[in-house]
Amino acid sequence: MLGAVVFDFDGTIADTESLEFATWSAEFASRGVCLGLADWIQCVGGGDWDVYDHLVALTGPQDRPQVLASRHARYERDASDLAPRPGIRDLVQALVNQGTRLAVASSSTSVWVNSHLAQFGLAPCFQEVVTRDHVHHVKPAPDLFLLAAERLGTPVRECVAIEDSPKGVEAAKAAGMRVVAFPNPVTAPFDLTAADLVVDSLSDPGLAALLALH
Amino acid sequence: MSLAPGSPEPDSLLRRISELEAEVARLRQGGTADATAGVRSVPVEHDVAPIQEGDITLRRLVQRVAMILQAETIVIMFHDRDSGELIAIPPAYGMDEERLGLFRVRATQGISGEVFRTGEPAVFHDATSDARTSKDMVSLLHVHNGITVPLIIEKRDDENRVIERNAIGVLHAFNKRANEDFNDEDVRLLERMARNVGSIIANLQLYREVVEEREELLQTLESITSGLILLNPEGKLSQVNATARALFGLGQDTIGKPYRQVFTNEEIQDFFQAALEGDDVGAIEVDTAVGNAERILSVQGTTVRNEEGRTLGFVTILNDITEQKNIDKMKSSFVAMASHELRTPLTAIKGFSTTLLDGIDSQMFSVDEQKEFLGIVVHECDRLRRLIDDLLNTARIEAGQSLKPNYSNFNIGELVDKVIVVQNQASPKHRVHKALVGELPTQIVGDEDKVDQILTNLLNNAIKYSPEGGDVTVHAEVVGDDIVIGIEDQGIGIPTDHLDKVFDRFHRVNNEDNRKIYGTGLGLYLVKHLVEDVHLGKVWAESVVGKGSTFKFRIPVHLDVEKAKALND
Repeated sequence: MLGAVVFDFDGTIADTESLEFATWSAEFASRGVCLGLADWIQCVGGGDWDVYDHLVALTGPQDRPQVLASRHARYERDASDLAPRPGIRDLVQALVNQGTRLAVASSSTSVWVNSHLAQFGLAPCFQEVVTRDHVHHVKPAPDLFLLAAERLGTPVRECVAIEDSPKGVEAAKAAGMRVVAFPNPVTAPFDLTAADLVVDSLSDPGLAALLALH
Repeated sequence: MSLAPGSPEPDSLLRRISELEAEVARLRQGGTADATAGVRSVPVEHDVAPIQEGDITLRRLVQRVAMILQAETIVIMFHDRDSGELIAIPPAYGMDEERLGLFRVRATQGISGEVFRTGEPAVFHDATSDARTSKDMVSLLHVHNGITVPLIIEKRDDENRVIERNAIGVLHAFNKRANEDFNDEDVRLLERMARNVGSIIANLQLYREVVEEREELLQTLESITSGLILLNPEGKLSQVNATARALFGLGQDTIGKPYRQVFTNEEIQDFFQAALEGDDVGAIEVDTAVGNAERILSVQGTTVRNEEGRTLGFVTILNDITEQKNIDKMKSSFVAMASHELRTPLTAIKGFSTTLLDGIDSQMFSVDEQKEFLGIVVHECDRLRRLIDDLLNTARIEAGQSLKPNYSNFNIGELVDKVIVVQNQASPKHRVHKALVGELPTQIVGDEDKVDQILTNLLNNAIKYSPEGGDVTVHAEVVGDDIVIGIEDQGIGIPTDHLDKVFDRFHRVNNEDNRKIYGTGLGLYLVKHLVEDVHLGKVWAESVVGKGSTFKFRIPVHLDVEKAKALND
């Protein structure tokens, strides 16, 4: 029985993960070092691993405001080209059309998530947006998913979560939801087998079945 | 102890001067007793007159000779080695100075020459008919008869044995009074008196030589390019040469004063004090200020002793090493800058290439991102290549080699446009544009590649030193036979006292404004070479701190290629 679908935001709805990674990679590269994907994944989907601390560990002391400003400028420059990942728009529309309630559960801030949803024109599709602004513990803790289900008024076992990262999958499973993993280039190399279903594309027939889409 | 190349060793000079001073003093007192002791062999005669009375004594002696021999004229002739002549010298008896000045013969001629050569006296009774006489002189001097004897200097050892005999000239007695003739007794008398005359002349000669040598040495010390200060053992100044006076802004009146009264610099005072107390002072560096100019001096000193080890004083050599120090400083800051300039692009190249390599398998980066990263790698490689070119070109110019100009006709307007487009792409914060006065010639003669370098370099600087961005304007106009191009920015500007120096190799303005702007200090040095040597032009800068700078250069529209090639060959 499908009551609601809870989407992760970063890396799932929009590939901000790849853009974050690319912009941080450029910051690392301009200082002569390489940001390894294995390191980066520690902060994907939440957690307290700090990318700036990692940079300093590799290069020695840096001018923190300068690094953050430079990274931010690069992100801003490239973010205007940011769009929902392939298939997201169609999937959301299909779910809305069949009356499925939708929420976003994100370890990022509300401003971040809402501004991007507005930029994509997807904001009206989601009944609830829960973020780090609303809970004490972000992913991999289940709090965000539990709060989303509560606000939607849907039992968690009737919810399906769509995630891109191991931490997100872990959080949704811990909340008791069924989980579909839809990895992006950054998270593709990682083990997502904890999910109920892993798809390369949102037009995957298994996904349609799970979401009771026609 | 080091001195400017070619300068004599000052302590040996000073030793020599000290010896000469002693000798002058001794000669003035007429004492010759210890003259041969170790210093120098001096002719020793028995009847030596004090030198200060030497001239008078000689004059009296000549008068006495004339009286004793009853001769009308007595003339001393001195052998001048350089001219090979026997020359009449004062004092003479019975001959005016004018005729005396004309009395000179070659040492091979006449009676004078014969007596000088043989060392044997000669007597002649009829000058006009005597085959040996020089007839010119006979008629000039109205000589009838005469005696000529050699002037001999004998050197003797401590036991009074003659160890050397030298003929230094001849002594003439002309025209026996009362129409009489000279006899053998007169010859013997004149020979005897010639010994006295010879020794007086020798002493006078020696005195003059000693004084001249001393003067020459003092003059040498005065004119050496290093500063030189000589203290006597009592700490009073006995010599401060011109360079030393200039280094401390001193007047001429320092000799004889205690050093503390003349030198106020504490480091110098301590140095002299330690030296006079016998410490090994070696070399120190001293910061001084003469007027407003701060200088760094290298100060080295050593005690001067004579051959017996007695202390004659303390000699100090001063060299102004301010420029040297500045160059050292510039070189170290250049090395730091060059390392930074080399490292920055390398760091980025390494970082972006490893990042791309790392991302290949997982296709982590989009095509646009890969393009951007590779673009950075290429840009940084270009930057490295430019830096290395600058270094190599500087080395070539330093080695006196030219940068191999390749002159042709080219369109200056198109080149300016091209460079502006490139620079506009390089910096989004700056707006580079062109402002022409009148029409530019379509073709000018020059090395297009090098003019491109000049423009690129100046535009790079304009952008680099305008960290806040703004307009960069390329002005161009034809003035007379030249094209004048100015690159104006709205940057941090250059302090007035650096405007000329910015074209010096390694020169960079070090202040708060440009601490974070890196550069090797070679760019403008190369620009100057490319404008002034390769294009026979002129480059200069105008600036107001905080408002911006304009770098201008003028080069001929029709470069004289032959002349330029000859200069750059």
